[in-house]
Amino acid sequence: MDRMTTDELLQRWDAGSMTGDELRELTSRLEDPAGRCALLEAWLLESGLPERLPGAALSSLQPVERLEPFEDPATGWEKRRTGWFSWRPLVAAAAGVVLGMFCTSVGFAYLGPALSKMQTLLYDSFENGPLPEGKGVPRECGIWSGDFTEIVGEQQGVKPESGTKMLRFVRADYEGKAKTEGNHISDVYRLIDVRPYRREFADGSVVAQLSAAFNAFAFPAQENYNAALTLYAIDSQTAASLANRDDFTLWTKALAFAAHHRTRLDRDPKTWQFVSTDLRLPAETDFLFLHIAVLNSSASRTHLNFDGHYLDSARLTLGRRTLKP
Amino acid sequence: MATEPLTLQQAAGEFIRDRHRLGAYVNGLLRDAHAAEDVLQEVWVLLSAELEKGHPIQNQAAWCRGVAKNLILRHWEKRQTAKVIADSNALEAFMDRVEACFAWADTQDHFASARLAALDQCLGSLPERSRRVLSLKYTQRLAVERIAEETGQSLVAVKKALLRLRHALLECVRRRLSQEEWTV
Repeated sequence: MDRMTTDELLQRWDAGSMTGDELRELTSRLEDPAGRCALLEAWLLESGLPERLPGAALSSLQPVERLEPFEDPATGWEKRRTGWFSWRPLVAAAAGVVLGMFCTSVGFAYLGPALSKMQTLLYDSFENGPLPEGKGVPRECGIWSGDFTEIVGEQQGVKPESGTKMLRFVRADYEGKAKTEGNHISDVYRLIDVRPYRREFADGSVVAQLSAAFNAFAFPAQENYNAALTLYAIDSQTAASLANRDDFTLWTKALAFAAHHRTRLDRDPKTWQFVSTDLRLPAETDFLFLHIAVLNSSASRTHLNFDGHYLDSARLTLGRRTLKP
Repeated sequence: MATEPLTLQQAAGEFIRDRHRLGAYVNGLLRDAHAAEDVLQEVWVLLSAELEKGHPIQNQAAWCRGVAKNLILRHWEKRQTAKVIADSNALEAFMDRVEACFAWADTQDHFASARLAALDQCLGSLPERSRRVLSLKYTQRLAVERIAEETGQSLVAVKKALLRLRHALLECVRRRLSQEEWTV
């Protein structure tokens, strides 16, 4: 083997074309501080590039969705407060610390009771409206898009939580996805224009709440599935390049986000599990980006398909709440 | 003295603060951005589950890397691709050494942030055309063949351009950092 530089060895690793001897050589170089720095710098650069480069602009963003009449949330919705966090990344990056996080489960509290003067921006029980698209992240407001899903009626012992239809997560990939091996998360997304409400949340007192109901068929006992919700507040520039962003990048590009990834689905098709997450809206928010997913967390997962996992009653509301000083 | 277990809020803060290093670790080992994203999400799910059970975690960054390593090994095992080195002893030794590199970086206050700040400056000095090629590769995640179509270049030219750009950025980052050290 010709004497390669550490950078060249790292390139070979990156390309997946490394021999065993080259790997041993690279390993021994990493004992040296210069080799250690070379690896750290190369890998930091590689993972840091996506969030530092512009994405492709969208041709147009559609106007705000039509508002539907709001009814009070049904009783029995369990607000799960654990397993989520929210974050103001831009502030955090500037200050070098994480700011703006709030989590009622660990002692931060809102003044007053629940949301007052709540405005429903979206309530979808999948009874009508455009069919979800399996084309990855949506390029416009007003549609669900993401991985392959379908609208179904009652099946496998699961009755819709509301109405006669519900959304079924079908696969962990979408039309034209470049790499599908190893995928085990089925996602749907929706973009909501909140610019018409900016005056309402300019003072930082408005909280957006995303909630949804999940259910699953009686899947085998050795399998595990989690429901996940993430709500991002983003500006127009980030919205215009959404199709090119992954979650991890979006975490750093969003003005703020809140996530809940911790509800494990039970195996009882008769029970719907309700999940919600709240996000205080930064004044600069132009759009809300909804990400709803089911994760296959089974040790034995081997395929992209989801055999009977359902979503219903997806709801997004805005309400005014003030933080305790 | 007993260590107070981290609250979920504190853990989330630390997870976000360390995201660049953890992202580099996962992405560097996997070399597959989609799979890396899944692993990162799953690490967070497992971390929050552990904290909810009240299990104390002494060194969160190392714990996350340990979990990520197991998920990566599982991913490789399932995919059985050519990228997986057949010599598992050599691979294990490499991963141990990589862990040592990142454990060292954990002890350096500004190692990652200084390099990423330098990267911002270096990207700013690139011509628009070069930034576009990088965008096609890193934000749109197009295959080299598609980048060639988009840019009207040959496959070989695109491969060379990407290698050259990556190398140039790396050198630029190092040069800027050495200048800063010199002027401090």
